[in-house]
Amino acid sequence: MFTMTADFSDPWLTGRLVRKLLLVAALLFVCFALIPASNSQASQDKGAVAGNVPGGVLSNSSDAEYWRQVRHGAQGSVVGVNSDRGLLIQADGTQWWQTRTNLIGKYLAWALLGTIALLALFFAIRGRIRIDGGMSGVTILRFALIERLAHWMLASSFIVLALTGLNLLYGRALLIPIFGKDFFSTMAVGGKYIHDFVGFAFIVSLIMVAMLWVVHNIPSKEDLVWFLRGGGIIGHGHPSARKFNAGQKILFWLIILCGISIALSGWTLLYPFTTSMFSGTFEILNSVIGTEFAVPLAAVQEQQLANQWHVILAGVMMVTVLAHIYIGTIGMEGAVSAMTSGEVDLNWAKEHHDLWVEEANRE
Amino acid sequence: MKSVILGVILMVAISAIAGVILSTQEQSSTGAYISSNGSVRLSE
Repeated sequence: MFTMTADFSDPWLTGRLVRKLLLVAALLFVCFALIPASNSQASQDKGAVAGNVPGGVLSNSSDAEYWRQVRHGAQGSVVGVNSDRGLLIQADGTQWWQTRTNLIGKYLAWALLGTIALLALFFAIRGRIRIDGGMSGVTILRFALIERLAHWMLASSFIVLALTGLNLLYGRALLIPIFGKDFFSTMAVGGKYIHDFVGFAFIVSLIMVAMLWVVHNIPSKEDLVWFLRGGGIIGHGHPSARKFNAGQKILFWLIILCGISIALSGWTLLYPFTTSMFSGTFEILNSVIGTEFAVPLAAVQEQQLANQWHVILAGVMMVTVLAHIYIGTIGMEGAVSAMTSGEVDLNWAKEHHDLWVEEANRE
Repeated sequence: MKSVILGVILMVAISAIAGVILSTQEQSSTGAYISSNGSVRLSE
């Protein structure tokens, strides 16, 4: 332990201490007196003219206004690097987040739940569509093995993609309260990787399905009659159809076109800042149909639009696929075997695809 | 049901191949520079 003491009873020592204190106080006084004077001198040197802030660093406009403009996406310019870096804050990000969460997320949930409710209502009213003539006991090959493989590859990859995608959209709100943040974090990260990888299986199977079935899905005059009769709901009997009826053709083109667009936007998300598909599309739309989309888009805007477009189209596909699953399983007697064993009952085939049966018999 | 199982197996196989290729790409592209806390990654 170190201590320091002073003997204040010694007059000589006390006088010396007082002199030192007075000297320090005098020095401090001089310093404080000089500092404002030097600042004032510097200000005058830099030239405060007509109320401008000296130094030419800031103008009369306030910092608050300046930063407000930056906050709302005012773009400056930079030299020698990517011009996008002149944008300090990309204000559209807030809009993207709100649209994704409050608009797309909300309406997609309503669309999915509404579709399930409508299908349940339809089933309650219409019941299962039976084979009018009953099962004949004779079957006919409807889909070859390669067709069924492509279908189930597409179906299984789509289901995995839909579930992992919905987890990214709704998982935070729905699953964190149930499983907790740690478990959800692991699941979301794992699901994101699975989503990325399975996307390639989806693309491969989409190409297979397109190549196998595009010939059978070209619109024909029978489709018009099929529509006019509501696919058999209106009137008696079944409207004629080849391998695929008009409803199935719509399903096919929806899956193919939405699938291609989803794959392209997914590619943009997987390899960010490498594509400018929306700028290109908007430029074409502007020149062909006279729209006024702002182009070119910033790289991050491309990402935001790709994300929204990806979710919207995925939602359209989910709703469509729900209806497809319904009609292919519980909605129609004798339909599901077409994609499991590949064989369908002859009476079913004659009722729903009579022209196809005639063609198959001729071959 | 054989075609269902085969379709799912094919889906898993293609996804696994894609996963391996993507993982390789990720490693090579992030090999140039990674900051100490991993927040900054620069590719060559």
